[in-house]
Amino acid sequence: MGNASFIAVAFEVVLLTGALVTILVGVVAGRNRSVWGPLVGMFFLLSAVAGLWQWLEVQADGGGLYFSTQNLPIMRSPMVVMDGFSSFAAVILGLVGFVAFLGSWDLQVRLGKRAVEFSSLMLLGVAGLHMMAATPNLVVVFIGLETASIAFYVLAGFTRTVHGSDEAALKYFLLGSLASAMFLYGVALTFAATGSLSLYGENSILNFLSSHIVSQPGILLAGMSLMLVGLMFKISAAPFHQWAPDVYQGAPNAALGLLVAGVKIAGFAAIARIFVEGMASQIDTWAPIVAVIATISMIVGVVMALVQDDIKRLLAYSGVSHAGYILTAIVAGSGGYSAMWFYLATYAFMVVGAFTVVSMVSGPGSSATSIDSLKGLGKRNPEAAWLMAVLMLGMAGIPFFTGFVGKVLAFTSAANADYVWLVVIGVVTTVIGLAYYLRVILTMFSSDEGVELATLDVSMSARFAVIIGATVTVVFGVVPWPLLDVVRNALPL
Amino acid sequence: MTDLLWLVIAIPLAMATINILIGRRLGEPLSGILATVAVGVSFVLAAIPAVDFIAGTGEPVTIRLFTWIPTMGVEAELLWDPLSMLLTLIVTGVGALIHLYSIGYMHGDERFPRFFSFLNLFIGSMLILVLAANYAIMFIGWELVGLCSYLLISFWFTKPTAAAAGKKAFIVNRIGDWGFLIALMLLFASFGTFDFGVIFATAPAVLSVGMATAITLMLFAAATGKSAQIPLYVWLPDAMEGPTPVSALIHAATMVAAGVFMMARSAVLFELAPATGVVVAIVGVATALLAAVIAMAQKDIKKVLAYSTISQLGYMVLAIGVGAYSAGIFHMTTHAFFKALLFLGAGSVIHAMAGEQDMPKMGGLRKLLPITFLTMAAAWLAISGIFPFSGFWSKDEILAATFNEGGVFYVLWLVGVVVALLTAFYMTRLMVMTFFGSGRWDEGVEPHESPASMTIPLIVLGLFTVGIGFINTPFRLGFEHFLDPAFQGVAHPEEMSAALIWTLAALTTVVTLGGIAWAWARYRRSELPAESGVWWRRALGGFFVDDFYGDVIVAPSRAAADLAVTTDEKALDGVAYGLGSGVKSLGTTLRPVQSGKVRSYAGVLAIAGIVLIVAMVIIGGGF
Amino acid sequence: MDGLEVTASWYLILAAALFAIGVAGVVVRRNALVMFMSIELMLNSVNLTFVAVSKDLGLIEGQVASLFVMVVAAAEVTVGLAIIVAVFRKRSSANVDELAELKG
Repeated sequence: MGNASFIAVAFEVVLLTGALVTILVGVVAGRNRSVWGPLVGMFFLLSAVAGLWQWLEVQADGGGLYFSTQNLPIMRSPMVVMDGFSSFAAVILGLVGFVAFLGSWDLQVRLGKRAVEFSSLMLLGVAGLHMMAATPNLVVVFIGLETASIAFYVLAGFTRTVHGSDEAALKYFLLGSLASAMFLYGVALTFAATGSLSLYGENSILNFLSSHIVSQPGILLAGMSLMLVGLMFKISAAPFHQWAPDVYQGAPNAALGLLVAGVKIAGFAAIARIFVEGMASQIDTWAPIVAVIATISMIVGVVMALVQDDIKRLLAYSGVSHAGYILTAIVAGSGGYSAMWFYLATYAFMVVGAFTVVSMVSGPGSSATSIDSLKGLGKRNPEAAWLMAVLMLGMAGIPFFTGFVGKVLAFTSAANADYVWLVVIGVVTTVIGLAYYLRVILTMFSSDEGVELATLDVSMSARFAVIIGATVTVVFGVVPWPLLDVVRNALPL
Repeated sequence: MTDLLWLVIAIPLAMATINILIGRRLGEPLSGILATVAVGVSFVLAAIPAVDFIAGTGEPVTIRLFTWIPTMGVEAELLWDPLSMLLTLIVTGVGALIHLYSIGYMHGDERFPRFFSFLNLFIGSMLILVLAANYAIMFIGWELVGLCSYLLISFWFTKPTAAAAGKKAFIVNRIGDWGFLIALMLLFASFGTFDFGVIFATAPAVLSVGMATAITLMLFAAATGKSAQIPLYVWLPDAMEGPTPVSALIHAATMVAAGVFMMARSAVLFELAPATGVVVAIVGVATALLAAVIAMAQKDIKKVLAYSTISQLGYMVLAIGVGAYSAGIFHMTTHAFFKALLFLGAGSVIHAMAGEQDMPKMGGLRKLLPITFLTMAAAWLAISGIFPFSGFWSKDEILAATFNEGGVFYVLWLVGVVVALLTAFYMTRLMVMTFFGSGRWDEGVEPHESPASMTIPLIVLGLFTVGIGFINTPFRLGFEHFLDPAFQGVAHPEEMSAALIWTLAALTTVVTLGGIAWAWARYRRSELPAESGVWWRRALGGFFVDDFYGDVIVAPSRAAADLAVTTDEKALDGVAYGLGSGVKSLGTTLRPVQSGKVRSYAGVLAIAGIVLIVAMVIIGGGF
Repeated sequence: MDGLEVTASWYLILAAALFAIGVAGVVVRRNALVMFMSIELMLNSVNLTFVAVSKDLGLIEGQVASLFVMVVAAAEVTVGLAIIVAVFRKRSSANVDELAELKG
């Protein structure tokens, strides 16, 4: 099936339409949140439905398909691919976008008229993220990356008057552009070495590598390295993670859920498609390096998280260690796909839930949030405290929570690929990591004597976001098999 | 229609979720009405496929939902057979009525929607328990109903007694749950599966008598917790601290019967272990006697009913012990209706008396609460076992089965008859003290009949209480045969001659009438008897079993726990702390690297990129 | 001068040099605006690579890619300048070394 079809870009079309419609409606009814708010939520859900449509189409088709523009002389390679990979990413991104939107609603209420822009940037960002997962063309990966990143630079600095938000935005922007430029240079060098920008099709990189002896492998290797740097930066794997704690700390709480979860989903999807699929013949070259990066990420993430005083920095470093855990699945090549997707899908909801709880405590727009400010949450709002405890246990990887299942899957696939040492490091860091998650829980349920604790009222939308996160964490922790059946089919073409 | 059976479970659970999330928005009484409707819909959805069974054409089916634990072969499966059908109808039917009743009873409560979400959660969990097609799923339901019970007992958690009662129920049930867990392990070790079908089909070949005894004793231990038998019955009287509808639904009609149901489900296993049967029968009848004696002296109307529940559960356990499974389930069915009715009636009385639960302060309510009185009178006659009310049929069935076993069981039968006498006594005492004589109310109390949402369930339950007994008379109207598929391969007690059955029934009836007359004569006087003798006081205090447990078990174990905690802190924490502080100091050392300066981050990025290129080139084989 | 032919690799080396200068600029310079210009330099070196390779291999894809990159770079400029201006307005300085409150 070589003809372009609407369905392959349905997800992007829905979200981009949503972004435009939201902006236009905002011109007329910018202050009237009840008009455009449901619209944005609806577009997020519609995008998930579009993803579901793609998923069903792909499963019925068996495998998936890409859309080439062979009859156009300009580009020889396909630009869009619709397969289990892209459609699963679409469903998850749409749902995560929706939940993150619910979690950010409090901030939107405070932003007043500017909230329209905030929402449409969220929609745009998710569209960009999915492009990264749904294209076989390296330049389009870059375009998607930048679409998402530019939107997120703005989201990070949206509350620019709040102390720290501007710093976060500038840091994110400068370092993010640097990493994007490095990624793009990697693409260019790969193009120089192979004459192809495509991962699929007749003129694919893979075909070139299998039919030619690369005369100057250095260019190809440098290209791969730089692409890896760019993507590792986005998923905040150590040592490319340094932006993450600072940006998380400074950015408005309500924007972080999407920023963290979405970028991880898309980044890993792109890594898997470019390296595991496109560079499959080079796996012996890149897999050891990815394994080392995973190791550094797990260790740095856990060690640094232990000494944090700010809950957002703690979550950032924990995110670094999670990137490491998911990378252990990538190391296993195509055998790690289902582990990767399970981990990503469940982690995304945990992260969105956790940052929503943070924004309940310290306000959706504020920046730094010390761990001590969670003190007494167990009394101020028991529901939020319990749900946060569930999310923390999920991240920690306690049995009967999704984090455990994800880690077991990732470690199993790494062990199957003979990276036993990586599994050992993973298990050790998981055990050490328990300490800081438990610290958060203990802090929430402790309180200083004699301090009057005001009840913490939270909005319905934020509650929903957290409840969804915690529900996913528990349900798929206890009964992971339905989701496992699904991710098993989330395969690339 | 059985395809939709999962909805029967899903609808109450979904409604519970909705009420937790947006119950406050729905407000009172909408959240309660929706919850009631949800359970009602479940009832209808269960009733439609049930028609086949009632018509005698239904076949037991297993409905597979999804694979839960593939490595252990555990499927999330529902088993739809006459036994689970009957329980499903009771749980949803009685449940719906009690939901309806609660709308009136919980009127004005601050956490009205929360109450209904817990009730719905309970219904869903109980249905998981009864519809389970393997022990693993059943255990999930078992634990969930325990959780709901705990949540609902301590629903008014600001009341210290309620909080304490909740905690007690939780702890006591945990002890029983260990039995269940051990039984699960033994079952899995023996069969390699939890599936009912496989276990029951292969049990006679696979299990030795010793193993069967071990498994069934462990299951019985679990049942003593949930179904409140000696020695774990102590939580149930305290559970009356919860709202009255909860006492009716969970602590009388449904959840406490779960232990009996679980043992009936495992009938095949119990048949393989005759020794367990004797233990079960003795514990059952002893519980029935002890609880009946204690009930005679109680002054709190709900406490009387609580001990009465324990006593009746003792009858059911006795039935299991003598292998009369369908008789046990039959008594459970009738009991569900009349005990729910008694509790709801008591709730109506308490409601009318502005929260007063002390029977010596009641009296003379017959004229003021006519509907409550009439319906409760039906239940009174039913539980006492007066012909033709439902309790007559079911209790006699159990006693006849016990008698039929012969030998040592004659003694158990005799005790059972004495319990029937005591039951008639304490129930008559309750009725007379509450409804007859002159009002001994506190000043300012003006009793009034309850609203319609409370009286309608009373009337419906009253009709069932009168009629339900006819589904299984000695004339064999089919109940036993109807349950046959559930107890296939389980030996039935030998058929008894009709003359013997009628003789025994007549004997029990005479004894019962004697009990009623005794209580009537004693309490129908203008002055209530003092009841201050030493035995009255001992019985009133439940023979101080609680104090005994407190001194002998709780205190030493608390001391042991304290000791363990101290040791743990010193030894284990030392190691953990050493490791933790080592990692922590590493973190502290590394912190300055995260300087906050963009340029240094960019530098790290660039250097890391260069290192990566070099490493890649080296691994990849050079330029 | 004959024998010295300008081949594609010359352009690639030039591009690599420009890219390195760009990276160095980001690391060395303190002014956010200049850092940003260095990043633009990096993007342009990529464009140069694309176009050179495209010409050398006779493929049009690289040229199209460079057009896309220009568009993306333009979008990045808009947002980047806005962020830098916002920082400058608040702190009257675009020196990134002074922006180091979020750390540890």
